[in-house]
Amino acid sequence: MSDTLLAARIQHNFGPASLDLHFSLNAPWTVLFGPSGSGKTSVLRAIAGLLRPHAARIVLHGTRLTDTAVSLHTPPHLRRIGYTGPHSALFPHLNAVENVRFGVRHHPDGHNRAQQMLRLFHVEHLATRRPTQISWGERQRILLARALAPAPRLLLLDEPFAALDLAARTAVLDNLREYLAANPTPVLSVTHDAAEVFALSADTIVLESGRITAQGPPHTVLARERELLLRTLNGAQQS
Amino acid sequence: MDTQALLLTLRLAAVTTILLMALSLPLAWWLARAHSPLRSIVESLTSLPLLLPPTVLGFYLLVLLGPASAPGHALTSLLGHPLAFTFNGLVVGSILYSLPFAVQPLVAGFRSLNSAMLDDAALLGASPVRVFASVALPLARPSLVTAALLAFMHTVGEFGVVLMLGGNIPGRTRTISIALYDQVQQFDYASANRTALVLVCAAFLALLAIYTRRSRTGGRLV
Repeated sequence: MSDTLLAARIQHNFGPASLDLHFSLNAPWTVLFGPSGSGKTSVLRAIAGLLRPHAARIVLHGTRLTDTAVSLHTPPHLRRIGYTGPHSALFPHLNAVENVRFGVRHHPDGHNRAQQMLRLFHVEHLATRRPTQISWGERQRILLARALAPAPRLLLLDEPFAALDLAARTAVLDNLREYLAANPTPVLSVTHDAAEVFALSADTIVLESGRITAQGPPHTVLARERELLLRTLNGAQQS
Repeated sequence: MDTQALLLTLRLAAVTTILLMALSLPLAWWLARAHSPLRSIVESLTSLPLLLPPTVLGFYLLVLLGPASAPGHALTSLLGHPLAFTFNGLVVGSILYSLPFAVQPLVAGFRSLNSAMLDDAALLGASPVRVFASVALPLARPSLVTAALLAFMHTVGEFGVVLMLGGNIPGRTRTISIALYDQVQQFDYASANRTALVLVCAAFLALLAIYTRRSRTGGRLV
């Protein structure tokens, strides 16, 4: 039996730019690394079903989600994929616990599940607060709690920690790892920050201009970036 | 003040607004989200009453709903009487005439929604109907209020369509604006002044409610 969690072949044209890639995820956490505009977000959107590629075959845990050869496109609400992106936001008309409960509303134990997720991300004290009364960092925690509450089959993270400071990012990552340890869920995250890739120490796919140029452990595929980071840190230590 | 005409006008505006909102909500949602080439055509047709003289719309509706036309004949056979010169005929005319006043604020409200939030809702398992009902509608609520107020007040003030399609039958099709016209024709300027003042005050209060709400939402057209 194959250990492949996700297999994706995606071809899509955006005017002058295009995506043409083929990859599979075998590790619990994979990072899609590349500069801005390299197509990382489009890859996640295609997997989530928010973008309909011109040609694609996306298989998650053995289930075909997209197969343009047979005109198959599973709509996003049936994919059971968790997602938080740079523009994700809490629903402003709902409080924190109602936001987290949104994806498990029909679950018999939905309210308790939502409370449990808020506790896991240490934001249970904000349960009855509206998004406008919640700080940015806390909102990111609630967004993650909301995305994970329905127990998705895959978690897609599109630079969700970009706006967080190092301490907040580390704390949120610790909470997330705690959840993933208890509830193994493959993660595909996107970043253009090499330091974040090394902090995650995950399998890494390097994307440039819509093409995959390397895949493997970060110290191998991002050797140049590692060197630059070390030089910067050495310089900071000596100054 | 012609109380009978005033009550009939309020009933007409209330029925029109309710039916118009039921029709406009899915239409506006589609106009705000669709990428279909049909969108521009539908949007133009929806906005047509903004530019057309009401008498033109009234004339065509009179012809279309009259027993001489095929649709009018079918409707007459179905209902047992023609729709023209009836309250129900006025409702049909008012819905078409006030359509852009309900649809346009709703389209603007739906377009101003954060599309990432709608995507998030879908990825949390919400079907398109649930995304609309549980996220888009509550967030576009100020637009709903604006659309309903504009549709109601526009129906209250309509004249040309009512006169062409309904005539001037007291208790059936004689609305407040027709009553005002009659009062002027009879040189009863004191009554005309009272009627006109009621309409001015009602329109001003409706607009005040809309603009006060808009200033609370930071000037956004919602």
